[in-house]
Amino acid sequence: MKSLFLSAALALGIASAAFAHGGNDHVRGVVTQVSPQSITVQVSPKVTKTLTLSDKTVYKRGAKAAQLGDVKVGDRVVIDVPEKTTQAVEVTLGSAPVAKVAKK
Amino acid sequence: MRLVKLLIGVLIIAIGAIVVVRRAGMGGFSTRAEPSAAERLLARYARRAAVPSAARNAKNPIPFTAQVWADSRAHFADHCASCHGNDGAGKTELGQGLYPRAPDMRLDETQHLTDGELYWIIENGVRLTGMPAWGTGKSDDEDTWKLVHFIRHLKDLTPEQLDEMSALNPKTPAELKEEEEDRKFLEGGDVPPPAEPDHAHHHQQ
Repeated sequence: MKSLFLSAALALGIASAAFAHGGNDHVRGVVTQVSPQSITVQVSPKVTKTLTLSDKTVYKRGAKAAQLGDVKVGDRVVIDVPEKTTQAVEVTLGSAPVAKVAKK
Repeated sequence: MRLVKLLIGVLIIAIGAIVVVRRAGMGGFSTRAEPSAAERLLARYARRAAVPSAARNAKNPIPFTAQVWADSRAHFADHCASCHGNDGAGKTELGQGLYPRAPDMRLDETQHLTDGELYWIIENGVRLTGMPAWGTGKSDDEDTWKLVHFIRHLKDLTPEQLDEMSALNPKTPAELKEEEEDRKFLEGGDVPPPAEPDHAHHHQQ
């Protein structure tokens, strides 16, 4: 009887509906703007990227926990962002001195 | 009674066959599909039915200690987290691409399994899923029993422990290179930003 149900599970185990691809994008850059809602980083000389921050965003400096208030313009950051979204899930702050960022 | 069970089984297979044929005609099959409630129910039944009753009632012979907790975290991070995630939620690229999905083991669906069932599943795998047999099938593998403790304590994981586990996750050469570049960049090193800012990075939750 067990094998019968296992066979049934196999037979039925092939229905469908779409599902998103997993994994995170990895954004590396220098902070040019930050607010409780968003963070903008310069990822290359001519490219900036703005990402959404939320209560669930995790902040770290090295292995230690940090917070939004620790993020300053000029900081080097690496940000994890789920694919096809602009939601920052984790912001890792650098230990390098804050860089001067030209005001626009 | 036996005949009734047999007829029910045949009916289920017949319905399954109809579903298969219809789906095949509608553009094939993909593991991106979301398993239906009926499939999940059947899969759970099949998983439970696969465990011998003696194994189901087995008790964990390893006392839970701080060392066991640490050992099991390291073991899980290295062997299991690629699919299940360090936190056991299953929200990984591999786990969410499987059919059925890697379960969120923090939930009742997994936590209601007995210690013996968890041990059996780790040792023997689950047919028709992505869960492989990790052991020899014997009942005395200490590392597997430690993993049973780990699953029971998933909700106790701290952010610091999750970070420690992340450092123990298997990584590809490309991921190691990227991590090294991130480290240099964050320390102020002269690492050029990636030409394509959105390069994929598969990290464990």
